[in-house]
Amino acid sequence: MTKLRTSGGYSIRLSDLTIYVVLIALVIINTVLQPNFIEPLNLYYVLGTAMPLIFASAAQGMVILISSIDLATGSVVSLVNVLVVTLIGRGSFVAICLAILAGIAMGLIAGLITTLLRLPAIIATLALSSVWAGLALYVLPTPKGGLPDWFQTVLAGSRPLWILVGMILLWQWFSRTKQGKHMYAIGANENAAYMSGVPILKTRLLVFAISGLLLALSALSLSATTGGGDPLSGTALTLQSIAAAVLGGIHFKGGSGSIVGAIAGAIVLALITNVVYYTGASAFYQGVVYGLLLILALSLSRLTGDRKATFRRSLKPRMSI
Amino acid sequence: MTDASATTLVLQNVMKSYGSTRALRDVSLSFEAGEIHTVLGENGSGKSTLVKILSGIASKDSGELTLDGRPITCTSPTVSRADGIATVFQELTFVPSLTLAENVFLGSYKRHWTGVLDSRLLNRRCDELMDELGFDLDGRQPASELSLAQLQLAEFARAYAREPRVLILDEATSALDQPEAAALIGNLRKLTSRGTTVIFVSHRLDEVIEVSDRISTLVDGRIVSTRQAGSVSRESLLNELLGNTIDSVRDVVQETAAILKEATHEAKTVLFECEIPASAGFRSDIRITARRGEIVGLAGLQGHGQKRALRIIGGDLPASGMRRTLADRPVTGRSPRDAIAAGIYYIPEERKIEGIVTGHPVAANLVLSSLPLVSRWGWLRRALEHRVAEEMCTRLGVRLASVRQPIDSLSGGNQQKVVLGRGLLCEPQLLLLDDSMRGIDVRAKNEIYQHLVDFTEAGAAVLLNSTEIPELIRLCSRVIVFHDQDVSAELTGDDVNEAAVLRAMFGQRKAPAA
Repeated sequence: MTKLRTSGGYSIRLSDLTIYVVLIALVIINTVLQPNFIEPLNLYYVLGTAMPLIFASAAQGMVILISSIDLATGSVVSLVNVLVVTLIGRGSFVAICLAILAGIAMGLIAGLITTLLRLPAIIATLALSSVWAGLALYVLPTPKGGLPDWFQTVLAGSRPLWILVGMILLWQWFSRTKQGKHMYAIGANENAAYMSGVPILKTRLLVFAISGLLLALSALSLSATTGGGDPLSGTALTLQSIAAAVLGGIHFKGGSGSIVGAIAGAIVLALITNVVYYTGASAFYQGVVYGLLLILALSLSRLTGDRKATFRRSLKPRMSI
Repeated sequence: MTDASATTLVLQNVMKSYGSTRALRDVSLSFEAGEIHTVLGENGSGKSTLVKILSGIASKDSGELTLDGRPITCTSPTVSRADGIATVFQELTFVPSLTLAENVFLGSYKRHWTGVLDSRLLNRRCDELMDELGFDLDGRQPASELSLAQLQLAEFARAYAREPRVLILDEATSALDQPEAAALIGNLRKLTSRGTTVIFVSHRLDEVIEVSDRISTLVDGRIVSTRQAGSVSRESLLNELLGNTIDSVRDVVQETAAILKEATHEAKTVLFECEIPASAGFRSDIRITARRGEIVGLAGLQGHGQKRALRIIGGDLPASGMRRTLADRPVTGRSPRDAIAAGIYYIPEERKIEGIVTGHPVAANLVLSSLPLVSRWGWLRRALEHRVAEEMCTRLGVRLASVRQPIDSLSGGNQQKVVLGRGLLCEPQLLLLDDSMRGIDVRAKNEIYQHLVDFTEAGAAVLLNSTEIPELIRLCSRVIVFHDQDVSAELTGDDVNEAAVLRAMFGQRKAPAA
């Protein structure tokens, strides 16, 4: 397998770069279809509308990295979204703080259930998804506007770009910390990590808490782009965030990949939406495109991410050592 | 130099049961500072339980543990480590996406003020460590690129780096070839000279006698004896471990093996022929034959091609252009399933990963490859399945309470017998054993040897890949030795001896005997 060796001693698989090639290709396609696409203001706008998915994909990516999954992503975002709209009357600061705390709390609950009770994440978070969705409907049964004007300017202008740069820098830092390495260790081989003295519960809870925080930020940016609250606003984010994370090169069984890849994956999905829009196809096709892309990405990561799998025939079950 | 007679770790009346199985009945044992103390025992004797308790993976039911006079609890791996007990397990515990250095120091990372892991410091410490140990390993390499043997050396380095009071080596040399194992063992003295106690668990008897200061034998969850290594012989240890049964079994095998060797001097009909083209990753075309009644050995240093050749023959790895002929009929198809249908059965090395279906009953594991045999109109006949399984278990001497019990509850040796039984049920003409006896106790090994001999006497043949040269010498009439992705020698008759095999493994070529 072709590898690039960087000065830090890390080696990068060429397949990890695929997503960026796809990203550049999509930018070109978009520009061809709509020449003013490449203008900064339009790019900022596209990025701004993609922010909810970008945050959600980063949240999902963190969880998949520890070999878990979060099927409650969409419901968490919906619940935080309606909380913000309901609480905004009591002061913006209070509302935003409570929203963020709610996000972290929901992340911690998922972390505790999957770690302490050892329930499979796919079932536990599916159940939680139903709980949060129900609560969201209880808090705000019908969509409602009413967010102050300044809220909608949070993502105006070049701000999305700076938020993105900040996220990438934070990730570059976090992935090189002790906790970051522990996260990778747990994702790749939890048993080995445990035997090496890695604090499993602490690390997993930290990852779920960060993921909850990112989901709260996703909900806040969703509130900013829509200007209101809707108990179903986040629903589509669950599948999209998984698709973005896997497209971005995060191995579905955990332990390898980068959140930067997940972010790139999210932007790719947003650009695909754009293409579908420009070509005049019905928006209903988006779902079809996302689903097919997810399958494609999973089969690609299976073939390129696992050397053994390429060596063996594809019918053979995967093995881990 | 620490006072050699100072006691470090003391176990008093340690007991442990798993359900109705009493793994440790009553173990009292004391270890001294600076000694290499071997605990010998069959699989199922309680040895691994003892290791698990000390490393904090299993908890004892009762008994006392003290380290340097202080009571210790060993309630989790972290607690055991903090108390100064480091364990090198046979199973590898590496994270493929981290570098070697990051793996070695996993769980004890240092960072600078930014919170970022200090990888320069980490790599430097790793380099120093590897220099000190004399291992040729680069800390910057991702763990996913290392071989099994390299990983096992790194496991040792990791435990060594923790500067433990007590270092436990649980079959930690099993994936290493002899020079590598020697390099590892040479480092043990560095540890003991600092007062560390080394607890050594190994099935390589010669290795054990050579390196140990004292040897304790564990039989059925009890310590039978603790003696100075200088005063014991291989035979006396074997007798102690296995009672009287071993002698007879061993004699039988040696006798039959001798007869087999005699017999192969006469022309025997060729049962199996195989040509693997060089394009499958070898330096030249590989040709392997087996005559009826023959056990053919495959030897070589780790990763020199012998294992790959075997897996290719078994249909487990693809090789385009390969030709296989069994009993004058070409073997077609590319999967293990096709090979099994043709009469070739491959028994893999990694029992837990590729051999057994964990959590399923022994019976289900046994009939897995031959379901039509126990089915009628596509329905599994449970009673027949159990009868077939019981017959096979009796034939192979699998020690179990019932064929309904989960296979995980058997000892490693018995598990491997079940896998062998699964192969035999398919009535193959050629059995491929891929280091399948690794980590199995001596008694089970001897029994399996006997079954192999019986199997070949009925006109079949065995290809046996083994990392243990004595095993090859005892069983095989012919040994094909690999070096650097090529056959370096094909030894027959009197040439099948330890020196010749070793020489060929290191690349000394010899024209294949006619």
